[in-house]
Amino acid sequence: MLSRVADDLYWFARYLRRAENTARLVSAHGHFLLDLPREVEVGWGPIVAVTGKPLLEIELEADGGEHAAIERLVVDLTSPVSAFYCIHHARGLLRTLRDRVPRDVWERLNGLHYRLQIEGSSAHNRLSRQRVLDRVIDGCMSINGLLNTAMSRDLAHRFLSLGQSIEQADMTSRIIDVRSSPLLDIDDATAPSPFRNSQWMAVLHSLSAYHMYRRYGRGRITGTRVLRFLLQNPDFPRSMSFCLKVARAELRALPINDVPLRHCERLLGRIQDLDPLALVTGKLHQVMNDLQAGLADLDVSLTHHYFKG
Amino acid sequence: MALDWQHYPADLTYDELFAADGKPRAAAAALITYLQGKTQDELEQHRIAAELAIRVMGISFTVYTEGQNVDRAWPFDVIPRVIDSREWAHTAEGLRQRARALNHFIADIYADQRILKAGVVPPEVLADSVNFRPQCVGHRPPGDLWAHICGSDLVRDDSGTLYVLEDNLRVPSGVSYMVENRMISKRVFPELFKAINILPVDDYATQLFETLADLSPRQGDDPTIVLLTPGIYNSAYFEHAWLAQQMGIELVVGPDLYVDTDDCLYMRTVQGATRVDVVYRRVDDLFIDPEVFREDSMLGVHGLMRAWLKGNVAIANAPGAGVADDKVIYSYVPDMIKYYLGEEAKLPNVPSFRCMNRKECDHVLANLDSLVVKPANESGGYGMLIGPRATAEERTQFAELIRANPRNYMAQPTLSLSTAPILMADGSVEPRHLDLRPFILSRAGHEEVTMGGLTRVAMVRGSLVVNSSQGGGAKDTWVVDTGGKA
Repeated sequence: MLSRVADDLYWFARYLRRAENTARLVSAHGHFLLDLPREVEVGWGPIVAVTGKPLLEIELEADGGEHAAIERLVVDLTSPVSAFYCIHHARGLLRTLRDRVPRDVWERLNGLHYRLQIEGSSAHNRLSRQRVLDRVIDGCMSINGLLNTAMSRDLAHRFLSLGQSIEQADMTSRIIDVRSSPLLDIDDATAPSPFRNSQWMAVLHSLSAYHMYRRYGRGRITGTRVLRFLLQNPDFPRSMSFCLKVARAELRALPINDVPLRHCERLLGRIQDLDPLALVTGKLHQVMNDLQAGLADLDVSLTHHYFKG
Repeated sequence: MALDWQHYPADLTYDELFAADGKPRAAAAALITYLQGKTQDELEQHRIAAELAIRVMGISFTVYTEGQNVDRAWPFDVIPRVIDSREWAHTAEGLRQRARALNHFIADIYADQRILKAGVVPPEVLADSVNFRPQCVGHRPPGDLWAHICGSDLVRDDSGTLYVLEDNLRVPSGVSYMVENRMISKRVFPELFKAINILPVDDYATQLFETLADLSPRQGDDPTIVLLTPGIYNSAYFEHAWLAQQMGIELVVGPDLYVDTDDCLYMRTVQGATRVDVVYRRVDDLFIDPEVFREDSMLGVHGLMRAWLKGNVAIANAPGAGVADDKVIYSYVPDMIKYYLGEEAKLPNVPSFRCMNRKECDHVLANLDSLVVKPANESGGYGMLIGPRATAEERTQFAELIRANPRNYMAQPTLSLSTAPILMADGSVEPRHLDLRPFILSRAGHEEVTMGGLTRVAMVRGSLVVNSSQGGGAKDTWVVDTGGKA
């Protein structure tokens, strides 16, 4: 397989996964804000912050940064973290990959792209926002479904799978990081009971993890248990451990894999060694940052080994 | 209400589906009967079904406008153009003959230039040709074949005569639309394909693959073939991707390839370097190798010509093949056929005036209001003058251009191109002018011609410009076997 094609497949999968996660994050955060007591002023700053942008400028706005956040995370085609940007660029890459994936994938992504062009700006309207976000999520999921059920497990699929798992690990760490925002520093012990741990529930919802967590956790939602689940659970497909094990399995099947494989294993070891109890008490942001840096190193080693040729 | 053919003007010029008396032509009779049985509503459904199919299938072409590329959906008319299989058999024979002569000509031009010495083609035509590549002189590609893929444009005038308008030997495009158009009409008219014997068009990719595989410099039955595209912003990118997928070969851009110190061509893969045997290039030859041609080219590969001249890689069409693409050289094709093959041309050229010839140039300048004037080396319908449609000012400008560089221009009478009906949004039918681009694959010892080709339609009433970049559209082309004897 051409190095350039492997690179494009990898990024196609990353963009698609990023679009889906971002849409979920925006949706879950919107629901979360609706549930908060009025005196708690959280706004949209925290979820903008996890995409790597400072929240200072938008938290000052009267609407809690809602318009600016939706613009930046959903609609704006010049914002590299927006869901539409990701769909747009995934489609741009797929144009050169059409001979690599089942034909239906192109038809679906094209359909999603056209629909977002028509109704995308209605994401600013609270009443229709959920419909737009669902479109993005459904569109990405149906493409994932095709890639998983109608595509041979060839080299192309391995690079897609690497992109999916590395992007998911990255998004999982970022969504966990929402919790480290000072704006969300609500003391679980003293908060009025209906709101206790509601941020952790929002984190689970953002990762579509709520029901699986419930089956695993059996009972109370606590920060420690949520972190253990999202970082280290071996069975939940969006946990960081799970994602890196998938990446490791794909790497083992690739040619000349020594360096990237070493990066991947080192990172996996670090995640498994983390102590979730210690994380809830303050170091969360620092640790999530470190994990993201580890993922970036893995990405660089893939580029060096496979994509530059 | 059914479709109203009563008011369809079949006598403006030659109509492909109707005789001048308004009766359907034999090969089109079953189609017309079928369409007459449909209500306006049903026809509208057909039209919408086709539009949807195009959008969903992602058939598009790229238009470069004001600094950005816009992907436009392919403009398609549902009513097919129909050709009787007996007429087609004769036409295909003429196209094979033409491709044979053109390949002889190119091989001769880069070798002994016998045809110039014999005085059949004047040497100054070659001296001023912008597509002649001195770097190719003396090289002999496998089988002495240079133009493996040729797209020739055919037009019909009001007398019903089919002429060859031009031959495209550089990077002819459109074949993917020919096959996709058939897929659309199968979705739209499944019943008709049962009722009428419509000859299939879908084996082109297989034949192209075999044509390319024949060229491999290495023995063995699994050559590595790549399609070299200028990239996603090229207007024919859709076709490049489509062909690579149909043939199961790699679609590459320049930076994917490199020539190593052994003068062999390699592509960069995740497994390391892989040797390439055949390049189907859809990049103009001036851009394929910055060492030899344009230094600023980002689309080519350093050393590709070196690898080709050493015989380590095959390139289709061969660099330099475009020398026969010249519209002035076109006018000599009937003479080439006589010279190389000892035969009369089976398909006529459109009568042509060469401005390089003093007398003919005077005639052209005196009759600019009735002629079509074309530059020798433009494609896509650009840079030409359609005399009867031009303003006096435009004609004056063109006269100056011709006087300044007569070698670069030729002129032809304005043909009254044949028409076929298209279905309008309001459910009526109107005639539109069209042409036909068949594709000819040349292999050692024989040529393959597509069944019909790509029918391009000027979607604007009265317009003669069929190019997709200038408001043209397409129709499916049915070669119909009516069971009659040849």
